[in-house]
Amino acid sequence: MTATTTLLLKYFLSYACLLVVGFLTTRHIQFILALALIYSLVVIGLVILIGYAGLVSFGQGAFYAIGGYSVGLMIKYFGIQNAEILLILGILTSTVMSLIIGLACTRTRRIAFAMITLAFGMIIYTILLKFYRFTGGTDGLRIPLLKFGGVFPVRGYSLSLFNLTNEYFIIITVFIFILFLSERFIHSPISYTLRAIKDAEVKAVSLGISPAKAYLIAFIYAGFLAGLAGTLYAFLNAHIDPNMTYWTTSAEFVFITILGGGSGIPGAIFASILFLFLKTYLIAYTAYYWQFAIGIIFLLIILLAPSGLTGIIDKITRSLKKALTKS
Amino acid sequence: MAVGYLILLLTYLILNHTKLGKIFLATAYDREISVALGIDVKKVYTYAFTLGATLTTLGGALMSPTLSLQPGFSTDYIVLAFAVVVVGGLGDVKGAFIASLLMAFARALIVIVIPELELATVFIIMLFTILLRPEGILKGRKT
Repeated sequence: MTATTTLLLKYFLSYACLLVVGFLTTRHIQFILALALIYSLVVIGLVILIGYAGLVSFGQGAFYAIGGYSVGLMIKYFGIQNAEILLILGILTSTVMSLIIGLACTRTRRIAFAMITLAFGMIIYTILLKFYRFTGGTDGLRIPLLKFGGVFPVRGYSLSLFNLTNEYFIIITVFIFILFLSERFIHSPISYTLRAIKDAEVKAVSLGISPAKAYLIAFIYAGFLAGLAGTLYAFLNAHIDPNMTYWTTSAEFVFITILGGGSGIPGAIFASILFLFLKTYLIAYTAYYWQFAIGIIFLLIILLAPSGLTGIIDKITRSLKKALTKS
Repeated sequence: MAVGYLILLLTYLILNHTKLGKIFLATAYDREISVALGIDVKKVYTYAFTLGATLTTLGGALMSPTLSLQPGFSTDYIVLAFAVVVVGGLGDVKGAFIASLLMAFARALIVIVIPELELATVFIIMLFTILLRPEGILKGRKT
């Protein structure tokens, strides 16, 4: 079996797994899972920025909100109702914005980079919050039920395949595609360039590598992922508000990245799923102490496993392999 | 008010005119060389964190009689604190003092002229400081 077929098989299997989960679970679980996959899109972008480029961005929420609000504002002011057009417009807006913001941000490093992305995120937050006649202010915007190609609604049960909902189907399809794209990005020359710059910037420059260009490409890719996630969030949640770009949301993304280990895609996905399910179900079981409980759990994970979920997954697979080879 | 000035003066003196302040600066500037010179970096980090936490607690305690409190109100202040520190320059107590005054007056002025941009002013100032004066407003342009 060649490498390409194994790779394709891997994506096919993950897609099939996600579909089966959709067939069997309730709409509520599908909603949380879809939200977790949306989060993991942003987190994959952050894994590339933090793990590969060494840039900690506290402004991913900005692109998340730009993606969401471009959908909301296009519906409000231009009356566009086609989901595919809105999806493409959302991606385009966030990519262009990440190019503009990235040109300013990638001139800085380390703390200055974290602070400048924070500043951009908060500027967009205040604009969304204060120009309420245009953006809806703290109330946010409502997204009506959109349709793909005029027939396929983005939410509901029109597929009539067991319990599978449309929103879950759309999100896992986009997700698998992005998974493929990100895997290619991580194995592309640009990612090796980023790692070289992260290890020794002066050396990399003397070898003829342009850090600004590589950083900009990574920043745009992360911005594109966050914008796509925001667009999908608008479809899924039917409501968007300025809190999508408040710094706590951005910090939550950074936190999930750290929880996942910050160096691999599987860790990012599992961390997002763990985070959202814990957050949802801890509220159900420990009504008043959920923040306390979630804090303790994550503190334990970070103190006991500094390389996050990636480290734990690696350990389990390694011991499994050992057990298999022994028997 | 008086307590605030006293604490400001004290922090300024500790950071700029004592051995501990010099050790803080050295550790922040280059961790490896500080270790080589015999500084216990872990201890310095603990001290710095403790000092920061103490000052924050004092800030909260001094603020409580005049402003309303609720759990989670810190999220608003933490970004403003970040903005002030960046504008004043990292590791610069004098700069932070001037920056916090600048921010407060800038907000108060802008709210009369363009009320919508009131909160954004802080972050716009922060943005241009990072881009044009990465060392803080008091230091010259980085060459």
